[in-house]
Amino acid sequence: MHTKKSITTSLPIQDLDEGKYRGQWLVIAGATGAIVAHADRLEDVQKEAVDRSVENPAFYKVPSTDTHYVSIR
Amino acid sequence: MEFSYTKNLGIGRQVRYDPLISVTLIGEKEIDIYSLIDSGSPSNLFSADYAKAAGIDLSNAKLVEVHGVNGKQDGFLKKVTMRFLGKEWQSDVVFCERSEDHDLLGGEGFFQYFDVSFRYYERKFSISPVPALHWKNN
Repeated sequence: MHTKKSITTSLPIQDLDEGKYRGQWLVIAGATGAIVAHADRLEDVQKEAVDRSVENPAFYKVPSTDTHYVSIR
Repeated sequence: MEFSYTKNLGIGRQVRYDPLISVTLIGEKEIDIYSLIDSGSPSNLFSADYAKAAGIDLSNAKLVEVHGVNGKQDGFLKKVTMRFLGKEWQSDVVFCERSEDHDLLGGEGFFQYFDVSFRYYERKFSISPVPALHWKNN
């Protein structure tokens, strides 16, 4: 979260593994698209972003299920 | 502007390619949110946690019902400011519990303002602001 005007990243999230992070909140570094922190609550990943001085962080909530997707197996 | 699909090892351990972009939600504070572009969604749907993080008061929001593949739930419809590609606009957003699904960019709040062209075969998509609209900024 930032109080100054953000520079929104245009990068895709790198190495996204929703199975690994299911149900969690992620911090994504704006400069690289890398996942730099994860936690169960948004407040906690926001604090992580501040503590790690992540520039232009973006946040992503990983769904806890994939029932919204059509899957073919 | 051109974007790449996000390669995603999904919960079912199958590789997917998702059109995720980062947009800015603006309230008393700003927060950047990776959301799924979903032309099947009539509106933008965001986790209510983001409203709290951005300092957006939902006490005067309109109570709505959200129906989806995972059932029915209550949501709070509120007009808020959003920013993407340097453009700001007033968007209807439904804030609700999003634990089982992605945050979504849908028809009224996103496709009304941006031209989106998907080229899945290249794992690319492009987005440009709709020129004819009156933006909050220019």
